[in-house]
Amino acid sequence: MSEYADNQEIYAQGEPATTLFFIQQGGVRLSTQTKGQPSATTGILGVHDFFGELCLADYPYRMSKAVALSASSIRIIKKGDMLELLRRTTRASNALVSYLLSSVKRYQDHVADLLTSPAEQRLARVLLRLAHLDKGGPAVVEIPVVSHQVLAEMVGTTRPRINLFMNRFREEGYINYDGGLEVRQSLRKVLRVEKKSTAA
Amino acid sequence: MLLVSSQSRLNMRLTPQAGRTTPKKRAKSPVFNVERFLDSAGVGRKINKFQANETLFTQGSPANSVMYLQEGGVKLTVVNESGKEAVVAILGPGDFLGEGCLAGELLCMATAMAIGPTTVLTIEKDEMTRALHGEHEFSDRFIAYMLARNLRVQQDLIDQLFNSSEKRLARTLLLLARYGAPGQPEKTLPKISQETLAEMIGTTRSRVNFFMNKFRKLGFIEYNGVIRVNNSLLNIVLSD
Repeated sequence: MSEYADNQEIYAQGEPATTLFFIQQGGVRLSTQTKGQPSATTGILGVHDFFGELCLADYPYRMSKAVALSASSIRIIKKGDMLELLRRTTRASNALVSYLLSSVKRYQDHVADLLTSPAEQRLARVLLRLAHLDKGGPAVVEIPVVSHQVLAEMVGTTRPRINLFMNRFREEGYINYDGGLEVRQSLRKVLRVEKKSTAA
Repeated sequence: MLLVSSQSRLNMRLTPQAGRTTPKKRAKSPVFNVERFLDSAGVGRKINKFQANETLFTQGSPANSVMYLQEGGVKLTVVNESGKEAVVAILGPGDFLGEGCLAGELLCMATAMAIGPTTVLTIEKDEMTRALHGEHEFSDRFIAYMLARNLRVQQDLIDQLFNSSEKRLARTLLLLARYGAPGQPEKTLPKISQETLAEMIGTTRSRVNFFMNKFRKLGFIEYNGVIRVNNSLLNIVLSD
């Protein structure tokens, strides 16, 4: 078990990969950079998510960079121990398989979103997903502040556009900054408004 | 940019022991064989054949089985709340589909349609769960598959966020031609319309047509009836 401070790097892209990680508390941001391109945030992970799991499939190097989003407790598991655990207990392999299934789904949804929705809706969906409000839940959830630059990378648009949408969301009372970022259920209206206007 | 075919790592084993040639006798009998399990019908598993453009399952229908693609190809499309459609994946032999039901999803999240004559092994959810729990070799193989698939969809996302539509088309063609898959790579593409390619990479059919002609003139691809992809197409993907 390891403790990481806010914004502390857990591993860098290209480092040798011999361990995987399981988040007990806090959050982690994964980003990937390819030659000559800006870095892309490919995932914001939360409690009970795995990362660095590609070492199990014999990928020798980290394919992305992992940074703690806030103070986080993370369990570090050696590759060999995990393989052993997967063989011995169904619970470990169940947890890994269900994480992988949901991760594939999340990426696929994100791609579908990029192909079909305007940027404002995509931002609303990213925020709802971060707050785990995409399937209902409490009226307000507070999430760690994510910079507009990171949001822009996730949504696939520019920082000024994110700024514009975030201000609009705040004016409408869908979100609120107060230390952390409060996301309200009402943000879902953004998704519905669009639906009505296309129907009309 | 990375090209990861979900095939490329499929045959590796999760543990060093499993790679040894002498099959370990397990207490359980008969000996479980992953290939036999995936190649043949049996309890809770049946083989289904589909023609091109036939639907395997539709978005919103109940999800209660996992399919293993033995032959052919399948495209997965998703329709969003406002009715826009996108192709999120093209799957080939060795891929699984409908695996979301294992994560407790009750409804299919996408529509699956055959893009040519296709044979799948339909495995009922209960049987799939049993095999994953009871047969280590099978769960190793499935986890390895899911790891590779996970990386592939992550690359799809990065591709979509950053690359020009020309590069995205080149990468999609290489993936469809199974570039990077083990053994003799298939260089010909499953039959696929420019319309579908346009939906996959998020551009218009006329742009796809324009790039396809350009690729042909440069000798990266050939087509008379079927599309053949040459390795030189990588130049487009790797260029800055």
